[in-house]
Amino acid sequence: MTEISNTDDNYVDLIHTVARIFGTVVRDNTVAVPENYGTGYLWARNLPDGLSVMVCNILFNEDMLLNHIPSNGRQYFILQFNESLDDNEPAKQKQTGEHGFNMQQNVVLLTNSLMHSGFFVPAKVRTLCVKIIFEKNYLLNFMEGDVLDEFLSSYFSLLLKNGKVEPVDADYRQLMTELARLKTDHPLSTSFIQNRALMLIEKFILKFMAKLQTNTHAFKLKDDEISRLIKVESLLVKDYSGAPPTISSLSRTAAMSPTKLKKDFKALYGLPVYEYFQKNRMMRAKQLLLEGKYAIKEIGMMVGYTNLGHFAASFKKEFGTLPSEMNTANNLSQYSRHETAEDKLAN
Amino acid sequence: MLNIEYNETSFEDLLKNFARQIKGRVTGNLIQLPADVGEGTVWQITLHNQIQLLLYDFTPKESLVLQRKKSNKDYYVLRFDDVAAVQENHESKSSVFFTHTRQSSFYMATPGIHICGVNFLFDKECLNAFFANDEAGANIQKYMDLKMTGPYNFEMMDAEYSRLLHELLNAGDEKKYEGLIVMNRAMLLMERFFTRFFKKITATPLSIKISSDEIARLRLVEHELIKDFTAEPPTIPILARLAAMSPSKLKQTFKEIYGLPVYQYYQKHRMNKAKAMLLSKNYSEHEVAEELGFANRSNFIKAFHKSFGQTPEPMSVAS
Repeated sequence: MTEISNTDDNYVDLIHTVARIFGTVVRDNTVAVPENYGTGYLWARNLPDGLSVMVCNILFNEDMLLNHIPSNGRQYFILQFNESLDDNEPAKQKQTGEHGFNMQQNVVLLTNSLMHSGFFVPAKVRTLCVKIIFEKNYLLNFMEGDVLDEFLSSYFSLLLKNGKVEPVDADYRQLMTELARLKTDHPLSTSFIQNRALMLIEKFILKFMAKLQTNTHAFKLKDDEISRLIKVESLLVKDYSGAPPTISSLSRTAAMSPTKLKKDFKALYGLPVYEYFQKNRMMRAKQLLLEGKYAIKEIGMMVGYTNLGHFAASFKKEFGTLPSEMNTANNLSQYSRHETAEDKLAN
Repeated sequence: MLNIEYNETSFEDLLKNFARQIKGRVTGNLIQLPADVGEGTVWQITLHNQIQLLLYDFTPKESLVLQRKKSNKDYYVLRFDDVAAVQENHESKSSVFFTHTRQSSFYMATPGIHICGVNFLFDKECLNAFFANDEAGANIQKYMDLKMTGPYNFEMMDAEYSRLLHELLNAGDEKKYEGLIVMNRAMLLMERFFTRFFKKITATPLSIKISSDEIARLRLVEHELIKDFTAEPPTIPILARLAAMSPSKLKQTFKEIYGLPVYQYYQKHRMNKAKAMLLSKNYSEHEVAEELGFANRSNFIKAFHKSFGQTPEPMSVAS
C-alpha cells in the first residue's frame, strides 16, 4: 500500500504534492497518474473566496491511502463525494485511525480542517471523487448564521454517532459527472466549477436537513445496512438497457426482507425504489441528449425503451418538456474540440 | 392600458416607483399587485456580489407597458421572461434578452396572460468581477457592446433556462435556504447565458480583420447615425470621414460589426423608436412621424407596416 500524507489546505498544492510522489508534473492543473501507479487523473482549481475543488477519476494498481493531517492554518470545511465505478465487492475496510473516515464507498462526507481524514482507494477499483474546500464565511454571504450553525451542529453530532450519513444519489452523481466532463477550453470554467461546487453544497445541506426534519428513520439505519443499501442503489442504476432488477433479487443483495428494503431505501434515498430508478434513467437520458452525440431514438433505446412514444411521454413527465424540445442544436458540444481529461483516459 | 416609465438603476428605487405608478405598496422587498392592475407579485433581491434581481410573477388585468428610458449610467440588464402562450400551439413570447441601460427598451404585458421572470441588473464593475477569473471574460467584454444586437443578445427560453428560472422564482418555498438557492440559480443562469453568448460570438468569427481602434471609430459612426432622427441621416461620405475609412471599408466593417448594412440599421432603430413613442401614448401618430423625419404620413405608415406588419393606429389607441 502506498500512503501519502499531506497538510495542504488547498487542492492545487495537494496535486503538486501527489505529482512529486508519483514522479510526474502538473500540467493544466492536472496530474495524469503514471502507468506504474495506475491510470486516471486528478485535477484541481483554486477559486475565489477560499473555494478549492479537486476532481479525481483514478484506478490504482495497489491500495492507496491519502492522509489529510490537520494543521494549524486556516479553518475550513471539506465536502467530498466518492463513488467507485466498478461493481467489485468493496475491499476490506482499512482503519484510518481515530476520527478517520474511510471514503471507499459511495458516500458523501463533510469534515472540517481539524479532523484527520483518510481517503482510501482500494487497488483495481475505478473511483470518481469530487472534493470541495470551503470556508464558513463564504456561505454566510447567502445563509443566515443560525441556519448554518443548526445544520453544522446536527450534522456533526450525527456523523460522530453514526458514521455514514449520506449516500451518493442521482442528483449528486449528475453534478459530479458534469464536473468530471468539464472541457479544458470551457470559456467560463471558473464560474462553471464554482457554481457546481456550490450546488453540491446546497443539495447536501438541503437533503440532510429535509431528512432530519421529516424522516429520522434514515438516521436509525446501521452502518452496515447503509452499506448494503448503497450496493442496492448501484445495482439499480448500473444499466438501463434491460429491465431493472426485481425487488426480490434486490432484497437478496441487501440481505433484507422486501418490506424492509423498500422502507429503508425510501428513507435513505428519498424515493421509492422504482421511482428512483425512473428518475435516474430520465436524468441519464437528458444528459445524453445534451451531449448532442446521439439521436433521440438511440437514447431511448440506451435507457431501455423500445417504444419511442413511451420514452417521449416519460421524459415529458419528468422534465415537462419533450426530448425533441431540448435545445440540443445550441449545446456546447463545440467545446469538444479539445480533449477532456476523461477523453484522454478513454484513449 | 397602464403605461409605466422608469430609468432607475437600483431595483429598490424601481420597486418604489412601480408602487407609486400602480398605486400599490412595497412591503419589505415586495409589491402585491392591486386587484385592478392584476394578480401576482413583483419583488427585488440584491446578491452579495452586488448583482440586483427583479423578480415577477403575475397576470395583468389590463395591458401593461413597461418602458425603460435611456439612462446615462452604464448598467447591463439581462432578462428572462417566461410568458404563457395565448393559445395552445401559439408561439409564446418567452425569451432571454441582454441589453444595457443606455438604450431605451419597452415591454408589453398582455391582459390575462401569465408572465413571470427575472431581470438582472449589474454595472461594469460587477461584470468584471464575474468574469475576473476566466480568460474568455476579457474577450466577451471586448465585443459585448458591439454584439448587443441581432442574434447575439437574444436567446430562446429553452427547457434548461426555464427550469432554472422557476427554481429561482420558487426559492421562497425553502425560506431558510432561500438566499443559497437564489444565489445558485442566478449564477447558473448568468453562466449559461454568457457561455452561449461567448460561443455565438466566437462561432461567427469576423471574416475581416478589424482593429480595436477601428471598432472604437465605428462606435462613433453608429452613435452619429442614430443620434437624431428628425433630420436626414448622415451620408456615407460624411460617416466615412468620421471613421477615417474609405466608404467601402466603412460599409463592410459596419455590417460585420453591427449585423446590418448602415441604412438598414438606421431604419430599424428609427422604427423601433416610433413604436416606443406610440406605445408611450404621449405622442400622436402625427408627432411621431414628424419627430422621426417622415415628410408625410403615408410614408410613415408604409415604413411602419414594413417593419412591424401592422399599421401604427392600434398602438396609439388607448385600450
